[in-house]
Formats: sequence, structure tokens, C-alpha cells
Amino acid sequence: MTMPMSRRTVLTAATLSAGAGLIKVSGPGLLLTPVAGRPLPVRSPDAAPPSTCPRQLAVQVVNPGSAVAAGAEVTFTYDPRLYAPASPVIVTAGSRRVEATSAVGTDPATGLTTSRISVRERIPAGATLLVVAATAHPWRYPYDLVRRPAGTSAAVVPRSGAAGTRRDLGQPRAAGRPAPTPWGIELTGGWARQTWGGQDRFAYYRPVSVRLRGTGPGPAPRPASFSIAVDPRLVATVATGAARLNGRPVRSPRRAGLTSDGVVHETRWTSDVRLGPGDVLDIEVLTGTRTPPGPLETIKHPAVTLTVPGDDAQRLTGFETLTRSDAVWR
Amino acid sequence: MDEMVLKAQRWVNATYGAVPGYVACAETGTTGWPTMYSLTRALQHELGITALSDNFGPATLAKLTAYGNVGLHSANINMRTIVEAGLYCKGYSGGLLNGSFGDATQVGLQGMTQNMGVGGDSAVTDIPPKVVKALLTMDAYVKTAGGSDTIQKIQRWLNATYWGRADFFIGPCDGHFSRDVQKALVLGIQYQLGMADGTVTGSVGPATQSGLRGAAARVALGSADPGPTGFVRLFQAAMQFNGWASQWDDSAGTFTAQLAATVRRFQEFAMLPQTGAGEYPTWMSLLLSTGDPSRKGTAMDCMYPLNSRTIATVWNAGYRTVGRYLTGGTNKVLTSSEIALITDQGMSFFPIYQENGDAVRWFSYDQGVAAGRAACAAAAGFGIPAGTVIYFAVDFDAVDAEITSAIIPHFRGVADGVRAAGNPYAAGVYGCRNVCRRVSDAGFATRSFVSGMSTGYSGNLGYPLPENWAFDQIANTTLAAGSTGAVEIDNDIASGRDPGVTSVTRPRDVNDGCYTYLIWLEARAGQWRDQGHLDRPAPELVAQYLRSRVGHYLGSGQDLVFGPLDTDFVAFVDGYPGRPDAAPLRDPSNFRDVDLPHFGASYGAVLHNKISDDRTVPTLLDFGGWGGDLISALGDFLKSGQPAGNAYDYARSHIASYSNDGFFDIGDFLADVDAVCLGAQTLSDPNLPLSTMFRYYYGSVANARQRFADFFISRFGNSPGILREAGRNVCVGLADVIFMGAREKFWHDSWADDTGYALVEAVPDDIAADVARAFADVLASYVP
Repeated sequence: MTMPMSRRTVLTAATLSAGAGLIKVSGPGLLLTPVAGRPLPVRSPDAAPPSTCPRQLAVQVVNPGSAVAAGAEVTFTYDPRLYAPASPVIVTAGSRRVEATSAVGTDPATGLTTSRISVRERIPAGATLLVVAATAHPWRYPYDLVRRPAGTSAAVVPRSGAAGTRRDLGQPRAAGRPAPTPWGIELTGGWARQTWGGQDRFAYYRPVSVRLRGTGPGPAPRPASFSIAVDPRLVATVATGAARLNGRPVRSPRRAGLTSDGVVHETRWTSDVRLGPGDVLDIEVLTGTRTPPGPLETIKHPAVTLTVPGDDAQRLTGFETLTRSDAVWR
Repeated sequence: MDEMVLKAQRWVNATYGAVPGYVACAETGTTGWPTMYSLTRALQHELGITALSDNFGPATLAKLTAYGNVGLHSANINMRTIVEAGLYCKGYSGGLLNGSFGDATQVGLQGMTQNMGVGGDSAVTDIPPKVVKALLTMDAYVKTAGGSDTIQKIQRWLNATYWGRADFFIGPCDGHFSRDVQKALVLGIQYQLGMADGTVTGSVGPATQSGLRGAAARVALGSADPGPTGFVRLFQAAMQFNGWASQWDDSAGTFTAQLAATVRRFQEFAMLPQTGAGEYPTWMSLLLSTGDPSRKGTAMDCMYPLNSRTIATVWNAGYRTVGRYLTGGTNKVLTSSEIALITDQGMSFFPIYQENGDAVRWFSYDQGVAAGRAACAAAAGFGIPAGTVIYFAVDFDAVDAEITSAIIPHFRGVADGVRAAGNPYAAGVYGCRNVCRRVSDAGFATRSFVSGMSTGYSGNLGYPLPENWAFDQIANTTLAAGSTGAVEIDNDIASGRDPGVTSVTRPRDVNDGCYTYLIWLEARAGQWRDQGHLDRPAPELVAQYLRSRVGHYLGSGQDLVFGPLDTDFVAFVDGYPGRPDAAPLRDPSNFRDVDLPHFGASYGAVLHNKISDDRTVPTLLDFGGWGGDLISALGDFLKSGQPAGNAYDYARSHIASYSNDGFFDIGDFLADVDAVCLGAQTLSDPNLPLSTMFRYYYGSVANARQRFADFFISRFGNSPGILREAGRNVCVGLADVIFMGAREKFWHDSWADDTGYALVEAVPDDIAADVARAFADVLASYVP
């Protein structure tokens, strides 16, 4: 959405983001529009209001008026824990890269990082620039819980020191409502190797054990569930055997679904266990195998996948799937 | 959960759910490989491929290359949507997920391609096939937790420099060294060596090694790359990937003095010549888990126990430390006699614990506890000093998920097991680099014995040498092949962090070597019986092998007395590798050695013949042992020409004589006694091993003396009268026809000509009686 401002108009963000000040915006000039995209949730270890951050720090800069001389500045202010800056910053106009420089610095008082991008070219009237300054770290785990995350904002001025437009790029926080406590599950396990063909030249791995560990700080909201998908030409049956929670026997996960055709044999399993922080659920996986007559043209890699329905509080551990792609099938 | 990932998952399942060969991904809003597999199959379908596969392989790439770039200017909306979905799964903006490729999608593309290092100088609106291939992986192009900025820069440089080459694919830029990064580096080196597309492999083979030996690849202080790429940068990359500061940030492409100093420290760490230059040995240690595999180490490990011949071989080859197994079968396990052999040679050893361990199913917390306890018990049994590092083996290519779920819990168990045993020993780990590193970093190993030889293991690709490495196993070889001292070893480089064990606290037992030998033979006997040869109990097989060592116990006549010899078993044992030294067996009560081949023969006689109901009547059982020897003592006296009145004194001084001046010396006497005692045990319990029985009788002076009483009781009913009468009847008795036949033949073949008596029955009775009495008195002197 584009919002033209007059000299006497003060743009007020819907809510304040911690660490980001409100700046008066004045004067005609360049227009600033965040590039749309659903923001990512930012998870905090304490009971803070829910917050988000754009998955990329990117804005569209439009010049509705007369040409702007070289030297326009676009400034992003963000929490450095959340972003990997683009180096060099990317500024494009259509299919063309626009010459630009950037300077990045962090304010020790606030912890906020500022990326100040200077457009080294004239911005013609009616031109639209796309500025990409950073990408959110999608996989920061185990450092993904951000205490008191700072907000994200962008501003553009026609030249250094001049007044311009500023936008808060984060979604407003729902005041007074704490975010649910983050939770997460790590999925690991073990494999057995099976071979076929002369001199055992072909090989496939099938799962023989699954381990689910609650990462905390909060408990998982629902019982642990997962699926096991294997190539049916190599693995005929999949069942769960003994299960132990923190070393003590528990009921083995029950099969909740099955998809089996010539392409995939997938079983879906659900347990009775809601994993709290540090809980470890070990499950034995029992398989019946098949031996193909020779090489295979295609392959279904084995994959164990967490199927617990996610929510914004779920931590992205990077261990939601257990798979191997090093089979040798032809 | 990511709403856009959820939307992508729903879109791809809804769009392709009915396509034959499509596999749906779970709709959880969480990205992962299953979603990428689904997107890959979707792309294959759009390309007209009908045999859909999880793998984005050469066929898919070829089809996509024929199609061209995917993006704003390509026609297939679904393919554009697949790219947008892939962007969201990677953490980038993918716009509206409708193939429109608007600003938001282009922001994502810009960010991703730049993060990959392949962004170029123009705006990215369409992406080439290699970028699509990389998009549909879980590789990250921003730093992940623990990633290094410098490594990320190098990753991007590798991608930027080489992604245009046919065999090079865009790799991760997450700041972590990994298998794919390792491969990318080696490809870069191969390209720099001038290897052509289609010939590069990404692994260090003979051609690459040859190139690295060349002058062009040698980099040293003052070297500089002529342009944006070259061997200096590649060397710096290799240093950085292995955890050593490369000065990439300050001086990429220039070999500075600071880099040379760092190289020297690396060379010191890796036990290489400290030249400060990037020469072949250093290149190899940076690129391959073996380093230069032709390096000669000072340590080794071997499966088969060492004997006097093989230890001479390894010593002469320069080895000074040997790794050996604390438990296991006879073809593997360390023994006290082997420890003596090693330490007497001036070598040291380091203990390894491995029972199975070649698959993940052998690893769990409970199994670790058992392993810790068992290893400590075994080590304590050998008298291995407290504080020695015991290396617990992980003998398979464990991937990260297995290390997390099974290996580390196992080593936690090892630690608890060792603690429960009183915490006497330190735990080390044997395994590939990643296993060693992770187990050590988790605090469960203080030293690493690295299986660097397994260069193809994923755990050795993309991981540096662990900081606490003590031994690096780099090559397998056979020393002195074809000779009696031939031994197959693994050549290990020693860092010096573990000097090994040079002495043990357990007092040496002079019979350890013999017990080791017997146990080894018993294992062969067990194998022989497992192969279906069940006509003899294992102890008899062992005794037969002992018997076979001396020629005059062999032959058809001997078989009649001692039992038919299983010559196939003897050949089986003779051909089996790793036989320990045939060490002597010393009687602790008199410090004399028993004649083991004689024992083997006489023991067979006990098993195959019976004692007469009238114990004064000798049978073949006796002829095969003390009886035959007594006949020889008689013949020896008669041959001496001494007067008849001297018969007793002569026999008394020659029976069980310590000097080798007769035919019934102490070795024979002990063998005869043991044959009856152990033979009686075997007849009662055929499964009781000879080694166990010998350990009992020879384990103390008291037990050793007791066996003479056991012999007296077992054969002569504890009656001196029976003893003397039986002794006389051995020489001249006529009660047992079979015995008589054997005696006469023996006398005829061995003594008739030398004594003047064609038949032993013709010997005067008083002489026979005196010799028999002498025997009885000798035995009585031994009975406690």
C-alpha cells in the first residue's frame, strides 16, 4: 500500500515497536512501500506480546514527482539478531541493477542496526526502485528465541539529511496479550542399510529408530505425531515397536493412517505423549523389506516427518524431518 | 508455522495430487525435505517426465535445461509457482504463490541469488536451471546457528566462481563446512588443475593427487593468485574449512606471513613437516581424512593378536604403539601374554573396546552402560593402569541424526558405566571425524582415535580432524607379506596425546602365553565343530593338534593307541592366520615344562582306552602314557649295560629326570600325569576346556602338587601295592593281550637290538620289578 504524505502530515505507526522511535515525516518526495509478504513470527522466551518481522527487508521506492538527484537515501533499522544483511545491498529498477552503496552500523545503546543505502544514480520521475537490504534468518535454532525483539522500519529521503518517509515494517503487536510459550520438537533417529544387486552395489536406508525431543521452553500443545514414508519396492511394511519416554516404557504410537501404492508406502503415527522441555520419546521402528530385481529408475527417499500441527509458537528447529538422500538405486 | 509454507504445501498437493507418481507432503506449515521432494516431483511432471522421483538428478536437469530459465519471462505458470513455493520454503519471499512473479517474488529471487553468491550485476527476474535445482533443496544461503562469516564468504566465492562449470552445482552458504562444501572445494581445485568438465569428480583421486604434487599447486609465503581465483584462495579455503584462520577476510589470494605461521601451527597439529607452505602433504591433510595415505605412522592397530614373529615384523617396520582389543574372540582379544610380548619389545599399547558396533542398533544408553562396565572389568583384569584411555568403537558411518539419537546417549551410558565401576579409566572414542568430534564436544570422550581411512564415510567428509585426536588410522596394509611374520595392520599416525600403556599392574604369569595358545586352539576347535565336524570333543581336537607337533606321535600305529588323528583339523589350524606362539607350560611346583605334544598323545590314549577293572593290569591307556615311558626306562637301563643290581638306582635317577638323559624325563612324567588327570575330567565333562583345567592345576603350587595325588588316586586307586604291581606288569605282565601286542611291537622296534632281549617278557623279573619300584617311589615323592 502506498501512502503519500504532505509536509505537515505526521505519519504515526499503528503501534510503537520497542527500540524504534517515531519520526516525523514531512514533505513531498519519494514514496515508500513495504514489499508485501506475510511476516514471520518472532518467538521470545518470556511472556512478551507476539511480534513479527518481515521475511525480507525490502521496500519499493516510487518517485511520483520530478526527478530526484543522485544521493537519495533509504535507511533500514532492524534488530540484527533477526536478519542477515545483503552484501552488497540490492537496488533494482526493472531488470537493471542501480548503483548504490550502503553503510551498516549498530547502535550500542539500542542494539539496533541501521543500514543506510545511498542511491548513486538519479531517480527519474515516475521511476520505481526495489531495494533489498536483508533476509531474515529462518534457521537460527537453537538461538531462535529473541528476548525483547526490536522493531523493523524503513525510511527514504531524497538526500541525506532531508525529511522523508518512514514506515514501520513489522506487524502491530496485540497489546496486553502475551504470545504462547514457544515450543519445538527435534526429530532424529537411526537407519539400517540394505543392499541389493551384484556385489551389493545398490543401497537404501530404512529407519529403525525415531527419537523425538521436546526443546521447550514450553510443552508441545498436542501429542507427538509423525509419518514414515519409504519406497515400497524396498520396504514392504512399517510398524512401531517398543517406545520409551525418558527411558521408561510407554505405549507405542498407534497407526493413524496409511498411504500405500507403487510409489510410496507412508504410515502416519500418533502417540499419547505431549513432549515437555527435555522429554525424549524413543520409538523402535520395525520394517519388512523387499529386494528389487535390479536397478530402479526412480526413488522415494526415506523420510520421517513430524506431523504435529504447527502454530506460531512452534520453533523452527531444522529437525522436523529425518531423511537420507544417499541411496544408490541405479 | 509459516502460513505461506502451508499455502505452498496445500497448493502443490492440490495441483498434483492426482498425478501418477506424485507423493503428497504433510500440510503442517513447516518446511522440510518432504515438501521439497513434492515440489521436485511437481516440476518433473511439468517438464513432461512421467517416472517421477524424489531425486533432482541429471534427467530432470537436462529437461529443465532444455526448457530454459524459469521466471518472469517463462510461460509455464505452474513452474513459476513451484519456484515461488520453493522460495517460501527457503525463507524468502515468494509473492502471491500464483506464478505472477511480482515484486515480492523478485525480492525473494534477488535475495536468494545474492545469498548464493550468483546474483550477478543485473536484476534477477528469471533463474537458470542450476538455481532451480538449488532452490529445491534444504540448503541455506544465510548463516545458520554457529556458522562462520568467513566460511560463508568462501562458500559464496566458490559458487560465484564455479557455478558455470558443467559439474559444479550451487552449494550451501550457511557458514558451515560440510560434505557438499568439501566437494565444491575439491572441484575448484580440479578445475584449477586444468581438469576438464566431465572428468572432475569432486573427490581426491589419483589425478588430483598428482596435480597437488605439482609445482603449480605449491603455495607459500609470497604466492599470490593472478586474478579472482587461484591456488592461494583454494588453499585458504581449505585452511578455513578445517578451522584454521586463513586471512581470507584481509588478504584473499595472497599468501602472507601470518598465513604461513598459521600453516605451521596446522602442520604441527597434524604431525606434518612444519614448512609453513601449502605443499602436497598439507594439501592432503586438509582435503582428505587420510591425509597423504602413504605416510608412515609409529602406531598401528590390528585385529589378530601379535606373536613373536609378527611383533618382530611391526617393530622392524618402525611401529612403537599398537591398538588391541580388550574383549572378543581369540582371533581378536588382547591377552596377558601378548601384553608381555609388547612391553618386552619396548612397545606400548592402547586398549580398544568393540563388541559389534557396526550398526546403529548396537548403540543405546543401556548398551553404553554395559560396555563401560565390561571394558573396565576387562582392563582391570589385565592390570591396565588407572587413567588409561579406553577407546570405545563406533564402527560405521553414523550420520548426525544417529549420533544425536543413539551414539551420544550410548557414550553417556559408557560414562555412567565407567563411573559405576569406580571411574578407573578415561573414555576415548573410535570413529569417523564427526563422531569423534561430537562425542568429545558432548564431554564423553577425552581422546579420539579417528577412522580416517574411511574416506568415503560421510562422517569424514566436510569435518576437520578433532582437536583431541590421539591416533589417526589412515591406511591398511600387510607387512612382510608371504613370510611367517606377515601381519595385516592399520597404519596409524600418533599425535602424542596418548603414549599408550607400557606396563601393567598384574603380576606376570609365566604360563600366560601357553594359556593364550590353548585358548586360540580351542576357538579353532569350536569353529571346526561348528562346521559340522562333531566326532571329537573340542578338548580332544586341541590335544590332537598338540600331538601333531611331533612326528613320532603320528602314524597308523600311533592312532591305534592315541586315537585316530583328525588331520583335516590339523591342516585347518595350520592354515589359520594369527596363531599365537606355542609357549611352554611350566609346572609351578618344580619349575619344569610339561611336554605338551606328549601330553596331547597320552591324553588321547586316555580318551580312547579304558582302565582295566583289575588296576594292576595295564591297558593301552597306560601304554600311551606312563606305561610306555616305563618300558623305555627299562630298555634304557638294559641298554646301559649296568649290572642288574643297579636297576633301581638307575631308574630312580632317570625317571622324571630334570636332565635330558633318558626317555622318561620330567616333561614326559608331567605329561603322563596331566593326561590321566585331565583325561578323566574330559570323560566326565567333554566341554570343559583344556585351558581351564590347566589354569586350575597350574594356577598354584598347591594345585600343581595335588594333581600328582589325583593321578595316583585316579589310576592306582591310591594303593602303593597296585602301583608297584601295575608297574611290573607294564614290563612283563601277560594279562592284556592288546597291551602285550603293543608292548612287543614297541620293544621290537625300539629296544630289542640295543638290549639283547628280543622280547620284553624275557627281561629278568627282578630288573622289571626294580624299575617298577623306582617309578612308584618317584611318584610317591611327588604326591603331597
